[in-house]
Amino acid sequence: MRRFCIKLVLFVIILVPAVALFAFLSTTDSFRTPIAELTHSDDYITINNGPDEIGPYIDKAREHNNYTKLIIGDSVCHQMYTDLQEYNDEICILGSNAAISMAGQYVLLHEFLDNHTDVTDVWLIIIPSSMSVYFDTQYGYQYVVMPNVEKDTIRIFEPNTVEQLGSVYGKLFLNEGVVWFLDRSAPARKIYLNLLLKYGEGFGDSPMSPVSVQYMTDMIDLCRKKNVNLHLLPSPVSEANKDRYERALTGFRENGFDKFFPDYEAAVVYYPDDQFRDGVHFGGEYDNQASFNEKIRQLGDESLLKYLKFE
Amino acid sequence: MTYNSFSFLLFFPIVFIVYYLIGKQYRYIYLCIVSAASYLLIGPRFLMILLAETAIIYTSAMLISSYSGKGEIKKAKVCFAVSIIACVGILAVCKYSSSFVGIIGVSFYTLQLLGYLIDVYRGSIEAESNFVRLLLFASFFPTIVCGPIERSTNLLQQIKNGVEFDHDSVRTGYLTILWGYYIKFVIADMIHPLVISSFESYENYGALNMVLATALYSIEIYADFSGYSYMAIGTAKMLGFDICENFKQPYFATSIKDFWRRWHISLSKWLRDYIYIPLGGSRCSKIKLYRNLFITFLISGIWHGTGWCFVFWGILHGLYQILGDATINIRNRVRGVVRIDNTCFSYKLFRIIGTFIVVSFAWFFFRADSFRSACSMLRFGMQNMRNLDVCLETDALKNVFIAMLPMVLVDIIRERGIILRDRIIRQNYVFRWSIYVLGAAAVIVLLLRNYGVSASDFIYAQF
Repeated sequence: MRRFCIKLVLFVIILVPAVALFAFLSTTDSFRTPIAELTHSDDYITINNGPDEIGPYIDKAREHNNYTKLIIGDSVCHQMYTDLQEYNDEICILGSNAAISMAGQYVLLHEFLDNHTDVTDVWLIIIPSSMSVYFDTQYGYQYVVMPNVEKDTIRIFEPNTVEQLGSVYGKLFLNEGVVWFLDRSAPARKIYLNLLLKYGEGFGDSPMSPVSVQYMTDMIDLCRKKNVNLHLLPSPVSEANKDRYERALTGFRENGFDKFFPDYEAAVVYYPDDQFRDGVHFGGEYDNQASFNEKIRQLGDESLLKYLKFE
Repeated sequence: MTYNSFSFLLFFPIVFIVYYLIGKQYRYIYLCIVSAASYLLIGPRFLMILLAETAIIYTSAMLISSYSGKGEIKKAKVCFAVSIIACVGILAVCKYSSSFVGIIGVSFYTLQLLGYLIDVYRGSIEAESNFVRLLLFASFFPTIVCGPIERSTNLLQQIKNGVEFDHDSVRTGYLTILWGYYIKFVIADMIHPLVISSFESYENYGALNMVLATALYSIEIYADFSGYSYMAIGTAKMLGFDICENFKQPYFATSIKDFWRRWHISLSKWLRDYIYIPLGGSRCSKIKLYRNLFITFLISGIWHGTGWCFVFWGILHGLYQILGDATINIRNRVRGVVRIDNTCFSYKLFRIIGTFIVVSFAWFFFRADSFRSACSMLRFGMQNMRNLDVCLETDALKNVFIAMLPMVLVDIIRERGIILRDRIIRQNYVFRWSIYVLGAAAVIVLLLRNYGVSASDFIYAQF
């Protein structure tokens, strides 16, 4: 029995470094893809995911150029406004993804204002339910934690936000080295995200999430401090999800944001569900810039239409 | 907790280490707690049903033993009959009631407990007075989910006697587990999507596609089931228990009778000892023999599942055996007339292929969603005999054959009476340790392959 215990210890001593070596090799350029394929985790690095998707937006916000206005928002904003960038040299268009949460939108705003002078206007263009986004166990890590750790913008978050992120995702997983490892190693990311989904608990699930309340307030304060006009505009939404949007709007009102943005709720336009491919983004014959331009004009926001060029 | 989870990789080493640290006389208590707890994790209802059945059988066995000792045979018979009806009733409710469907393992431990009760009633063994030992016998975590179906004369006796630590058993058990992981998580899991796509799109192809899909399914079910059995046997072996073998190269069988001596051996022996032989077995007239075979395989079909396709599968095997027996004289005569040497390899190969074909035909029904869909697929196949298109890609088939090669080689070697793991254990330590470490690493990779959801589930495409 004693001899067996020694052999068991020896076995562990050999196996653990072997596994560690495997994990290390999964981050290297030469072995990253073969190991990802071997462990059926290649889709974790080939599909455009959170850090790969959001990182470029932070980079663009930091670029020094002559933009004096900014559009930020969710993926519907991305769909409708991004292609207009080529016609607009005054407005920086950074419609991204609601999954970054309002904390992420605040980061984009903060970095843009830090790197641009003479900014006059910022438009936050979101569908109502983007205000419900909270730190969940399915998307939050890839869209909130990873890009902000990698771009060193997590320092912009409030201390309580960092604490909340630590409680949901684990303090260890906010560490730069760990984030780098999970970004590079497909099997490690696969294990962590699935464990998080299975055993984790999100923070802040409510009609208007606490993170939205906190960072929309921070956006208002930051813009006020920098003498920038902050506008909140809705993107078009589908009739089929009206209940969800009204729930978010109730939270919007209850938290007093209707006083800062009195026109937002009235400006929400519901379109028939057949115009949308997934209940959120336009699809089929409605998925083209001409159709988007018409809807943007229909929104009738003078402050935006005064500056936004369509061709 | 199932073998295909990381939690098993954490759970079992801890269980194993603690098991051998505690005193031999307490190990069965510890193992019973561990088995019950791991079953409880699957669902509290599951454990309640297990406890209920074990309590019924325990009480009944004690009463039968007491009544038999006092010569009160009638009371013993009543007790026996009532408890059999109760346990079979619980099993039927678990299988057929929508409120209880999905109770994992109930089919296996019910047969185990019934076998024990019958052994007590026959006087083959004494009633177990220690409830914890009987509960362990029923809930033994390596075998509760998928068997093998153990006998009281084997497993319960080992639980009673206690087990000593044996270095060779641990090594043998570990290698057996590794082998089980390979054939289940490489071969079976590789074939599974091919079978699904072939059957789901059968209307786009022809008979050849269905034949290939059925043949692949035959291999898949063997790899899947025998893989689990090996993992169970290996796990039990590491804990010092010798569990009965459950598969003996079944697709090398030369007849249906031979097939059932090699396939799910624990079940076929159980059916033989507790259904077939009590009905009269083969020591009766031909009509009664055929009746006994029919009933035994009908019960086997019903035990396997709730649909008519399982019943038909069971009946088909019964008919195969009946036909085999009814025609044996004619076949022997024909073989004699045409002077076929039945000892040569080519004849044996012919019989092996023939047996595989008829077994696979039965698997076709076993796999079908329903008896009706099986019949419509068959009809479609017969109407499209000339369509030689297949759903399966050459590359995918090539990968399957490559993966299967080790399994086929090992089965051929075992058929010749050579157990490869015993040979591995006798090699030098560098070779052995390479197998141990690489095997463990391979298991981790295999589990990782099947772990979790697709990456697209983490992509926020909605907003």
